[in-house]
Amino acid sequence: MNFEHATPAMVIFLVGLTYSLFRYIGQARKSPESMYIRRIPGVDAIEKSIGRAVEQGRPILFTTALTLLGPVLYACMGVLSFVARKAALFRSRLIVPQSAPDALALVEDVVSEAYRSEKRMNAFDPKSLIFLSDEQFAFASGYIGMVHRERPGATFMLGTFAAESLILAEAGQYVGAMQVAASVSPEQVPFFVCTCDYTLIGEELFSASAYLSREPVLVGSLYGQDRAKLFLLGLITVGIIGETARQFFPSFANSPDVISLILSFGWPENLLNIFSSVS
Amino acid sequence: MNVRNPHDKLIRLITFLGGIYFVLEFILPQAVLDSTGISKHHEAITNGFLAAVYVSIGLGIINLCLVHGSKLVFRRSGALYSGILLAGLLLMILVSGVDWYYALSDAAKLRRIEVLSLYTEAVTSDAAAKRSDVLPVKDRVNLLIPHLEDISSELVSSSSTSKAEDASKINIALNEKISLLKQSPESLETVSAITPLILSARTELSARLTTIREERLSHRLFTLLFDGIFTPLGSSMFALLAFYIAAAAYRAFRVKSVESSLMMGAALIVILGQTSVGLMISESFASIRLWLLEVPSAGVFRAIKLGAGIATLVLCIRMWFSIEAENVTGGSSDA
Repeated sequence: MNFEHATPAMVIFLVGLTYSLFRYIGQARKSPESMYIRRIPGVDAIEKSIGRAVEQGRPILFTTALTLLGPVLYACMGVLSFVARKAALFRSRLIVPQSAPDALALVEDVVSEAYRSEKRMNAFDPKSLIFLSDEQFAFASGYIGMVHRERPGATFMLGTFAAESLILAEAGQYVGAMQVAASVSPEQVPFFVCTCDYTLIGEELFSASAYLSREPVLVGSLYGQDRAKLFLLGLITVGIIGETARQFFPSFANSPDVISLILSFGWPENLLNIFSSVS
Repeated sequence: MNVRNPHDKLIRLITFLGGIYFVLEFILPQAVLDSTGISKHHEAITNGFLAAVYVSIGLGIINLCLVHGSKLVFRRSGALYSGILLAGLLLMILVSGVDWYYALSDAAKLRRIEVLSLYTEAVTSDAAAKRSDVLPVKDRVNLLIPHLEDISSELVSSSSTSKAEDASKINIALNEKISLLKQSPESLETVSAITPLILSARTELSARLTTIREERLSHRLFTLLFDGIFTPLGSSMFALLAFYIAAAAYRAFRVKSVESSLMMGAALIVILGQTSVGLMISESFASIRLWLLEVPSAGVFRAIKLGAGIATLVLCIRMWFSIEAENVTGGSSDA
């Protein structure tokens, strides 16, 4: 199967996903109250952690670690915006150490916007948004030093993580910070589960900002992507049934693998000819 | 499109147009891309996008110098660290710059020899094709001889290296052929026999230049700074993981709830299935361990990746159409 270019099945899926996205964004704009989002304890804990840090008079630390400029960072920015708004509201100090220099510009924009929206621009300190290093372990050592010096009351680690995840989380654990982590890297999830108070797993990171802000765009996209997942779940179920039948019933043994057949179905020759003649 | 300022409008337009190109490149069948000529230029177009990204590195260096330079000049707090950072930056740029310069001149030397081998091939093939639009073989060979003598002298100077014997053998053979060419410059047999000798000389000289490069002060300094200081510092941080894993595992393995008991049970089976002690107790630990890793664990990994993948795809579509929420952009969320 060629994944360099889309097969017709992939194009149909992408078109369906885009349609579903726009449809539910439209619906969320019209009647936001009709869109229900399940409670996620980890997301609720974000607000609790901020409250705890404020009560203790300790700063809040938020990092996206090795996350580069891209969709995952964008998903983290929704949560950062929420945290920054609360920090501005409660006059708590927010520290954001960064490893990607280009992401720092986006972080600065999001945090300053959050302070401006809370009308606390005078409390915004650009020096709290710090570029440490884009080298994995140099960043980790800088982060540990910062956690031990500043002793934050709450730490948020969201984004893409690698081997440094446990080093970062253990530093927060050592100073007694309430920690919330979210990672799209499944390999790092067990480390966060061991060291953090709450862990958002995989796509929960993407839904966190929708849950926190109830923005129609975010809520609508969440609904859209859930429908796409339901569709894929159906496809997987069909595949499982087909494959099980092929394994257990001899009469099905020589029948083709339905899912692979759908996915690898090529473009009709006539269509290709039309394209070629147009070009 | 409700936007905050004209810059936003421009950014959204560029994002959309850039997105259209890559979406079409993915969606359209290969046959269409080939017939329209897009495949031929795809790499150049992608490099163009990348070039725009790499401009930011230059901006970053300027910014770094401004921020830390001002700290140093006005002796603000942290001036010492800024000084160390700038000194490190300048030293690394200087050392790698000098190293790169030498590598470039070495590459040019080798390239010259490659061109000579192509030249000898062209002389032979042109003579076979009886081309009249090129110089006669005799003149072309006379032009070649001084360059061959240069290669020979390069090989002589390489006789001080460990591969001196090989270099001498090639040099003797090369000199023999040069003498033959001087005696009968129209001998195509000698010209064609010289091509593999030139290529062997290139291989020898390449090995010699690598040895010389490794012995140069600039390269040794670079190795000391990068492999001797930078990499071990990173490794030391990585080594901390061993202790942190023990501490985290201790906390995770305390049986406080049903979930933690399950986790501990699974971990215990995996540990026993992977160690000789476990296999001494029961050989079935190995197969249970394998089942745990290949069935439940792999299934969960795939589920996480599938969910995150679709969410990423949705976010990409949103970014492409510049549909963002107010809380991120600070502006409106109009498409």
